[in-house]
Amino acid sequence: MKTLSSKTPSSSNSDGSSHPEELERLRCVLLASIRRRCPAWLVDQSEDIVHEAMTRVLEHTAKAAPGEPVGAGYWMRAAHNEMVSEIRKRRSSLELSVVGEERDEAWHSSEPGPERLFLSRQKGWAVFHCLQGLAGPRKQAVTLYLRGYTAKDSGEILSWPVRRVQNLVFRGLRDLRSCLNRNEVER
Amino acid sequence: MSKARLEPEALRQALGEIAEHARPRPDCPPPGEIWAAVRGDLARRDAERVVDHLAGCLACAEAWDLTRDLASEVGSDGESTVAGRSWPIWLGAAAVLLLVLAVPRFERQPAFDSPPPTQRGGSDGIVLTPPSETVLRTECLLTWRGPEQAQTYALELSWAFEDDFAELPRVEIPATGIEMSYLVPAEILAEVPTGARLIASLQALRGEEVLDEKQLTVLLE
Repeated sequence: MKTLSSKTPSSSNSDGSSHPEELERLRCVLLASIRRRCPAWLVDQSEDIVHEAMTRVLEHTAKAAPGEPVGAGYWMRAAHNEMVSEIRKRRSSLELSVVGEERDEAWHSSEPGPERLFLSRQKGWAVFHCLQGLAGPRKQAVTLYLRGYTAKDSGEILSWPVRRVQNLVFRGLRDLRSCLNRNEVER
Repeated sequence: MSKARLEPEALRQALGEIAEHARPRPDCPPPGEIWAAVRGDLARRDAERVVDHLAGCLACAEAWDLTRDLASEVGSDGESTVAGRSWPIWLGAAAVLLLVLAVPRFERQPAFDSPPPTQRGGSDGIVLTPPSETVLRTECLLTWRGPEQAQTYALELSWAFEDDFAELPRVEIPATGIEMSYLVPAEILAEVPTGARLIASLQALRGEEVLDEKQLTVLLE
């Protein structure tokens, strides 16, 4: 297996010098992020995913601009693009788990399984579908809210005033809760 | 089953439970677009489109979180902070100078609490006509042009004044044609402080389906 440091023909810093140690740190950041954000089956493949992503970045860069100095921010962005593509590829190759199919399985499965898992997935799908039913701006505001964004940060992403975000989150969460209550989702 | 209060943390966890085997969709935005959206570099319409997609695509929601982690490692100039390199002294001096020059400019900007009347949203669907920059509480007439398919309109009013924020009762207005108007009863607005920003959120409905939603902000006198 090739090591990253052996494939760093253009892994240069803004001053033009090679920085395999910088790429190694980048690799650690990518790995940490996958381990924090992805489900266990993807975490098990995290080394491969990051290796694939970084190898592709190095190859593309070597082809596109051989010997050109490249800023460290470029590496992060490029590695991110490749990593997300690689994860998508692996997710696409899953056999069973089309979103709708999985939902149907969870609802209709007769296999004995942990009740808690079933109920929490049932609730998850209810949240997912009620979120789809929100009007556009409320859906967007609540989506970012549920990903942990403050009104200020959401406002910066969507170019909305903070008050508008607060208003839409407030109303959107209320709509979401009433939709879930209509569907009698348990706490 | 008991009715749920469902705190935000519970909602987040519930979504996390079903993300495990989510598959990407054919219309997923390219990773570079997610990167730009996370960093706030996309135009408003594009950012709204990406976030809208996020709500219905658990694979992209995961990609968004990954992107957020990685983008936080990159400075606002696009350079990575991973390597932890030091900044030249002249750059610090330039930043201080820029701050000194820029602060008075920001102070001259109009305050956020006194905006001109604005209509948020696209041009198709509801077209809300701003009444005027400020409105009297006895003359708060909202006029709009709605989609033909609309059966009713739901008007939700709220106001914001300094740190206060409150909602007013929701009003259902039957659609009587494309051209619509509604005079907000003065008694509804009686308790709203003078100078408050009144936020009108109007939804066009066909049954329970939301056809469109627009928002309008005016200053109340």
